[in-house]
Amino acid sequence: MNKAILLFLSVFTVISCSRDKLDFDMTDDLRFTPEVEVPLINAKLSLGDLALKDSTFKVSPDNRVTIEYFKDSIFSFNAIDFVKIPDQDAFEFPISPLFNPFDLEMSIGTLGGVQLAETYFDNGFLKFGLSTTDTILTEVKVKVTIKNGDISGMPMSKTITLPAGVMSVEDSLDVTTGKIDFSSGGVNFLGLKAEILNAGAVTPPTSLIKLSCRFTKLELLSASGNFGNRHMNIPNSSFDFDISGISQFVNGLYLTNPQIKLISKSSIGVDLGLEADFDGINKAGDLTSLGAQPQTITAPSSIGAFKYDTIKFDRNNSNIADFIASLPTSILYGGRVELNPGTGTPNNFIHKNSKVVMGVNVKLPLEVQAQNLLLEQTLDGIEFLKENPEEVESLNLIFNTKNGFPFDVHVSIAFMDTVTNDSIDGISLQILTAPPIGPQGKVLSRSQHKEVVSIDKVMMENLKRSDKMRLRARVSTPNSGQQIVKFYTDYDLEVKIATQVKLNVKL
Amino acid sequence: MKTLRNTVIVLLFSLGLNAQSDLMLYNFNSVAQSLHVNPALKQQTRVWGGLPALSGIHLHYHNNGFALIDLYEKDTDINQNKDKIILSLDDRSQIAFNQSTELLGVGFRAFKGFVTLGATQNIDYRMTYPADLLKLINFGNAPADYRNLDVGGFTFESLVRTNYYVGFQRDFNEKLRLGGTLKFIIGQANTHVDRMKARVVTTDSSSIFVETDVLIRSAGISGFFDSEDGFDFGNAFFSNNYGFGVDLGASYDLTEKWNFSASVIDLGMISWKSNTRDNISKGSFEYDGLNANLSNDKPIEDFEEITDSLEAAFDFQEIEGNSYNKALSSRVFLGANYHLTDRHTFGLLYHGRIWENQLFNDFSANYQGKLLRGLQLSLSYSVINGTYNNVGAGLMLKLGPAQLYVLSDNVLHLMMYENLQTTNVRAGLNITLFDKKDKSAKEERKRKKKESKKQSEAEPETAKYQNLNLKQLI
Repeated sequence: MNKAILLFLSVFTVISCSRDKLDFDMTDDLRFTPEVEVPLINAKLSLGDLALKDSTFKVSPDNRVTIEYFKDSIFSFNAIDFVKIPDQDAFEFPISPLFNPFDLEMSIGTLGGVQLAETYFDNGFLKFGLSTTDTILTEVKVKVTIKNGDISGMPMSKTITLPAGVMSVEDSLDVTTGKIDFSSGGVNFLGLKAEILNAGAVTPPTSLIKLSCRFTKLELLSASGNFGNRHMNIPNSSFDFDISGISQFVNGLYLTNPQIKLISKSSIGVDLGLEADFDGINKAGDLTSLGAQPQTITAPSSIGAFKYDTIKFDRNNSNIADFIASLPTSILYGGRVELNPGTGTPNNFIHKNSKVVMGVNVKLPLEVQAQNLLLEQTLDGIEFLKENPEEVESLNLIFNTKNGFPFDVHVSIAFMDTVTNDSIDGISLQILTAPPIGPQGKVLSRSQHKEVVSIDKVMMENLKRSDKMRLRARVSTPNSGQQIVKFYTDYDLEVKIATQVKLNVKL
Repeated sequence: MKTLRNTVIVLLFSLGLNAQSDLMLYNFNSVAQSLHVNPALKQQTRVWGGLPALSGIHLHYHNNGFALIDLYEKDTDINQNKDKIILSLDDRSQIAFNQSTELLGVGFRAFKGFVTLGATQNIDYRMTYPADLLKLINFGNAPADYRNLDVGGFTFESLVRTNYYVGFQRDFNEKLRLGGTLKFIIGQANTHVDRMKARVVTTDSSSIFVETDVLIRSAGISGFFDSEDGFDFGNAFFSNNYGFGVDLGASYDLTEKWNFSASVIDLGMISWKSNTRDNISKGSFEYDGLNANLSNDKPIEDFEEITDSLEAAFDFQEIEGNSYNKALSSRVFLGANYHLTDRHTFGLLYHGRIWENQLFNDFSANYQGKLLRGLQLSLSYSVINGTYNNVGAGLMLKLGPAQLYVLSDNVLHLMMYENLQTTNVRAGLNITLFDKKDKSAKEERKRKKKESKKQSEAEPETAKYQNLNLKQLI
């Protein structure tokens, strides 16, 4: 029995001895402290993909990228306003049965010294009046014929009857579709023939009758002649210029060789000197003038024909580089045109539908230059390390980039205090390094760059007090922005962001 | 995702490894259960019968990865301890659990030999530590040493089976005795890694590349997961998963003092046909973050797209109905015993275990003492799969026909458990009848002893000393 007790005590002692050597409470201190590297984002950007998505990107056979935008009508102005025949004062001619018939001559008044030649009317009337101070016992029939005009090949004439005993009468000739050649006989010449058809029967035969005639409500169908040298205003207006390729890509970059072509389609038989002002307005409301020089729009060779002219604005004759760099979304235009700006006697013509239609062809070869272009954005409502921050001992952000775009990009991130909005900490990194550029401004090969940003305990503590960050990126083309670079569809960019976290997690 | 989930469940279900050693049992021939490790071992019993489920219960634990003291030693830093343990693991570090129960057993002399019949229920879990995977989890993938890891370097197997056996041993001459046991096996459950290759590489650009070629086969247990009518235990225990196994043994008495023995255990296989399931993954995936195509209006892809990509990349498949054959984990014993006297024997024993084409070795030096006919004792020191602190003991007590026995390959650390890495306990209650006492042999020994005494008294003193000197010289 004693031996059994001794054995039991011995076993108990041995087991107690084991227990003394171990401390199972240490389990509470067990922690998990791996250093984990996890990729977060693999961002890719291909200029080829961008070019495919946006119809304003055009790719040449050698893969060069150009932003092109074409609109065949951005504004227009009608030409009929150039040649207007205002309502005329009445011409009065005395006629008498004794000296019948009468050849009468008159000049019509035009605006701006326009010298008309063959003129077709779309509308209008030649109003006639017969009046007398005598009492005429018989009726008087007067036929008035415009000698230098016709209506559809028929004489342009009208017979007016002054009834017996009536002192005056009015009538009119509808000249619609009629034609008058104002150049046969003088300038703006109108030749009339007035004949008293019943001159032998007019009683008393010595009656004096006054014939008056005047054009009214004349609307031209077409006209030719010399429309003179003068200026006409182009009414102020605007057209849309929100070209997606520019707003999405060019943003802030300085295009070194932009071109805008205004393409005029003119059916006005008048040479025009265009003195137009184009002012671009961007989304911020900033206004930048194109600074366009006067250009000439030449007349077509014949009525009904069109003449196309291209007015090219480039950096040699305009302020186009700054104009495009301002990212205009609409363009205000206005100014004036000078008719017949050249010397010599012009042979002008117009039709009532004649007009000048202005189209635009924007061609922006992606040849850019950037020097510390600043892009800035503030992101609000960001929660940094809000969940279990004590479980993170250290944090590294790893940026691996393969850059095929010809830019150096330096980013600085400032973390703003939630309360004071002051910058309380920040990081700065060269996120992209420009690859080598060939003499033609083309990227030769992609550059690889690795940047590790360490966020230590102090910064992590600061991040807890921040809920917004301000991103500032400075973009430059190589050689501190001096180099002009061109863009090709095979340019691409790969940015991999990974995090390396030293954890300290309680199990 | 269901396939992935089930794969993980199968993995968890299968943690374990059979590393049973049975070193103490091998020479413990006073209990008939020793025939399980060498069917040719000479039996002291004439007849034995095992009480159902009580005649032999065996529990085995093996973990050569670490001991409790390695992790929980007082006044140390548990996190440093954890790191040291993980760093010390290699592809031979294992954890295992085995349990077997003697359902029924009888033995008797017949046909000029010894016949045994019975059934055992065995549950084996075996697993090598996924050392590199643990290093990856514990230290992370950022340090230089862990950026390119082969995490597939581990294997596991679980096996639940019932063995119905019949054994026979016979003396072929005065020195040689041969024995064999034939087992008919019904497999209840099996899960094993047929193929496990997996690599995790963290590139210089922080991408994570994972490559897998995995085939995990299971049988019998898939009903646990999918049966709408509940798991059918009847079908599980008497399934169509049949197999056969053979144990072979030999014992040779070189001299009266020296005995050599050898056995090969569990030669055979089980053909798994019922409720089989293959979980397969073969593919590779490189993850370099959420893809963001800045040309798109919605540049960042959904996380769901990543999981879909993962599933597609690794090609997770769950295929049911593929039968397979799985060899048993065979074992070999080589023993040498020196009988100092009839009561005291010293022995050396080698145990080898073949698993997944690797040989795991155990060595043991033992003492076997027959203190009384009804009280026998064994002691041993063993090196078991690289663990050195294994002191074993066994005791058999026979009270009338009732035979009680208990033995363990590492009894010391059952109490001093802080250093425990390997131990087992086998205990049981048999009804036994030993051979009748061999009185003629005893009388012969007594007679020889008397003759020797008389002869020594008759010899002159000088001769005695001369003989002594001669012996010493020899």
